[in-house]
Amino acid sequence: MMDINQQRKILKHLSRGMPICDEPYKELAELCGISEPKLFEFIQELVDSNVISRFGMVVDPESVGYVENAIVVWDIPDDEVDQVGALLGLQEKISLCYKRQRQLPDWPYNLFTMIHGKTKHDVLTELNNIVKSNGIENYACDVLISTETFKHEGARYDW
Amino acid sequence: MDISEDDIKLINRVQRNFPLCKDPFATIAKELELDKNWVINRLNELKDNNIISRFGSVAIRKKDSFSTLAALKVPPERVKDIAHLVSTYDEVTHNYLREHEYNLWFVVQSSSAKKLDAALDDLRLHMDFPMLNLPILESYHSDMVITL
Repeated sequence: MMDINQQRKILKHLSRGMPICDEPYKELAELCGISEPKLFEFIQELVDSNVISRFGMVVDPESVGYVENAIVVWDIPDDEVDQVGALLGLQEKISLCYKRQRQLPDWPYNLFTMIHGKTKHDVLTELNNIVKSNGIENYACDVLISTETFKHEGARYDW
Repeated sequence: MDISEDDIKLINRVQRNFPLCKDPFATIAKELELDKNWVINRLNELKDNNIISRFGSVAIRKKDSFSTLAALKVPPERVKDIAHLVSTYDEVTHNYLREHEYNLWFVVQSSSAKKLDAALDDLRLHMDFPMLNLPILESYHSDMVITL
């Protein structure tokens, strides 16, 4: 059985990234003093128990042509927002889905999603598809298309 | 960088259900009927060209009080100047112009709740425009798998 410090160490290495080479897990297993099969078991557990959302490679959307994005904000009744949020989080072209604090009276929206596309037209078409296929036409929503980037640093998928 | 049909197969495959075994790139190469050494070299090239940003785990984002999304309502003729001023703050990690009455949208991040509040107070003090502060209350999803 691994102790908590070993587990933390492995998680830290997994989140920083591994080398792309022959036997990429070997070094990490040795570093943490466990066998490779034990390491595989542990990573599988992290995925199964939702400690991590997935294990694999992360692709930068902008580098493969997904250069346009919109923040789409929704006003969802408080007792439905968890359900709608979970649903929208499953959509392929939505990278982020958060409940945020409303700021009344200026800002009534509590659900924030980020939709990506190759063109602005694609982003809006995707939004239209998402609205129709999930039956959420009746909630107030607003679209904030990005027109210029002034700063973008640190981890992806943060905004 | 030119992306070939084989690259697309590879990029689509490596983003999820990554094999957990001694020689995972051999497993992937076999599945896709590609050469293992080519697979390893090509993935490293894709990484060097920033198409692949990382090989590892994707964290589930926990709501945290040390970061927030903020927005300013700035008159169009002043928005570029204000945007550059906002970007000078170290705590601001992302800053976008967006088509809306609230036109400047930025993420403020810090190492403690206190420092975050101080940065927001300082921004309010220096910008005489309506500002929204919209912290995360719940995270439902923060990841994207791209199918090419």
